[in-house]
Amino acid sequence: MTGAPLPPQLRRLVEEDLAPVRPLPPPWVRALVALAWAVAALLVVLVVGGVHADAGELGVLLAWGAAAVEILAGFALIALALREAVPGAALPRAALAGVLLAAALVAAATAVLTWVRTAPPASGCSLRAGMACLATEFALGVPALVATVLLAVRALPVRPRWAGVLGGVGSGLLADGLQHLICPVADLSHVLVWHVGAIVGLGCAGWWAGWGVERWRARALERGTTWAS
Amino acid sequence: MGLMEAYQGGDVTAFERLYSALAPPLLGYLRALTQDASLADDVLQDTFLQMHRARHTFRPGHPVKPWAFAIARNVFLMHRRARGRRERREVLADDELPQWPVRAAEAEIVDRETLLRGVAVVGRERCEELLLHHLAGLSFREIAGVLGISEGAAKVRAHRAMAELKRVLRRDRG
Repeated sequence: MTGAPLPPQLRRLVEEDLAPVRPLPPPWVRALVALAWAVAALLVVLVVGGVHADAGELGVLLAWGAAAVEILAGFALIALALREAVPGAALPRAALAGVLLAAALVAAATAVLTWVRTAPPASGCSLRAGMACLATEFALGVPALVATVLLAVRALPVRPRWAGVLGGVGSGLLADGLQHLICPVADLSHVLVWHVGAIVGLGCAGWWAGWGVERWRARALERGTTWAS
Repeated sequence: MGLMEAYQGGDVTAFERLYSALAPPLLGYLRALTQDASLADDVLQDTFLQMHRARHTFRPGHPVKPWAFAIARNVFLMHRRARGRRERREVLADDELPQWPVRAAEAEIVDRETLLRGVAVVGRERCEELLLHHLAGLSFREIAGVLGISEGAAKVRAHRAMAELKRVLRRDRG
């Protein structure tokens, strides 16, 4: 195979911007941003309101352990999203679907175990309590999702929607881990509808963000510019 | 230090050498994807621009080809989406055929022109793994990373495409 000569126009464009660059750190290192957010949010939560009253009844393992598992699972998903954003490192779709299923199982298992170990609520769970939980989880999850999307765009996601879904569900799990410590309602229907609903909602928000990135790049290409410039 | 690492360090000569090594296989791949020589040239230039802007995403110590082919494929898909271009399946003219050497194993079966015409008939989606493995020289593990599929799926698809290609070529000869 003979080598191809570099076209002068491409050479000029490259020479105009040939500053040394530092390679991206590994995905798990970049995902530490989201973990740092979770730790900061946890400290704020503890200072402002403290953990819910049933935490003692649940025991350390089900209260703090389950929260830690959810937060670490969220961190792992965000790291996967950032790995997905590096060209040539894409995972098979089936593996990604399996990871998302595992995330759903983690959230569901936490909900069921908590429900089994706590006394039934005196009265039914109100819509207001559900909406409050949904809002809190979004408030905790959206900053992590935004950080993930920005970090992913800083790389070059070749499948932005997959990266977005992974980042969204990961952020949702981070938020749900924190919410597990502060939400006083352990009723299964409440947790499955509102808490898991928030995770699904953040996953959808991530997909939507990825779709937006994809469209933005296509339009930029049509205009003859690219977003990465 | 590898070429990519030198390029990340700001060495234009390293970029020149990378272009020299990567442009022919990338152009061949893009011509097979686009079935359009001039579009493939445009996509190739955009691919190198995108590689330049995303050069920080290359992880030192890893192979360059999967990274470069993943970017090329992505730029091609962006082009296709942006322009709403329909897939063209017309047979390429001789002077538009990719300038790839056909590896010895494939050369025993068929010459380059016939192979690429066969790919045009079978369809680029069904031949992508075959092209990346047999013509671009990527391993199935690397192809899996480029296409987001498992290594096993890449092998199976390449095998199926080869079988289909043989069937098409036999029909053409017979």
